Amino acid sequence: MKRTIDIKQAIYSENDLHAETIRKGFAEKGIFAVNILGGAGAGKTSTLINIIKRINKKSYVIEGDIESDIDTRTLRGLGVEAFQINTNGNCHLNAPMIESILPQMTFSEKGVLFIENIGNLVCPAEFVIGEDVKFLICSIPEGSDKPYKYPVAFQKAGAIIVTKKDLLPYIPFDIEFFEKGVRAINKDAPIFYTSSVTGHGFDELTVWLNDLLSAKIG
Amino acid sequence: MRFTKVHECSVVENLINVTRAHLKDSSVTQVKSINLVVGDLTGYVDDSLRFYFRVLAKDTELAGAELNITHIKPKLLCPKCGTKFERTRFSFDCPDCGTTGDMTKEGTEFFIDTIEVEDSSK
Repeated sequence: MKRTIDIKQAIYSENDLHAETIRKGFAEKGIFAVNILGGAGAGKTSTLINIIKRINKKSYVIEGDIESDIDTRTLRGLGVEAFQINTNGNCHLNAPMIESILPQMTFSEKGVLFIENIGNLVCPAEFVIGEDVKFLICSIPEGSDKPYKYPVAFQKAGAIIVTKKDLLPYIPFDIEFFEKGVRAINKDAPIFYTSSVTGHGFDELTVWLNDLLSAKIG
Repeated sequence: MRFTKVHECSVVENLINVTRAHLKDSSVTQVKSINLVVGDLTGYVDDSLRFYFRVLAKDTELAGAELNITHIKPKLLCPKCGTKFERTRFSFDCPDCGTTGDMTKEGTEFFIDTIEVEDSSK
């Protein structure tokens, strides 16, 4: 007999269950998790390094890359506890991938875990991976139209970091147009403009993040 | 740690898992079709979803099922005049009054609506 079965179930539901388990595990250990989204070359790793240098809590990093462990080696060279996930072509991290690497991580003290996602602004925005907040990183050279092109990623961000501000005199980037686009889809996330070359903006960003961490993990 | 999966591939895996979970302990003998709802903000491409479905469903009870995909266009809601509208490129402004619209959930959907099956019950 032919019949119809009503399902009405989100396809992300399986991933979301894993993510919730991960998030609870982090909370028990006093770990505040940040999912870092941004296009390839936006400056995700440089931003991380600048934040970690200034932050007043212990930092841990999971580096997601399609291939290679260049960023992980850079971070380890700076004394950061960094762990590598290679997706071999997959354009986003998902919760089961994070679950797989957690047994390697001991979390000796409470602190902040930065999870650097794969460099693109489409699918990483769709998958929760146990984070407390998403940071969206985009750069001046990528242009001011990004919120209009990738609204989901901007909508879900708890903070927006615009990198490479030192290039602003040389590249047409309409700040008013950019911020209008951001505010249309995200009323609350603070917007920080930074430069890893000059260090601009990182003190302000770190003060905000330290306050957030004090409120969340003490 | 290394994984090997590409783009729509992993979401199709989830789709298959969710569907199979609903078939467990049932009298279903064949799945004719899976009716999916996909909001355009997800960025998923029909051809890729169907391609990975064919590949990944091959050795399961879902092999041969058709993937019917209904697309939902993203809609914004004007906070001033209440108009619901589809945005134009590089703008979130209401076509009626020019106020910046708020995102709604319309366009973010990604779920299995129903499946059509044959079963052995009379």
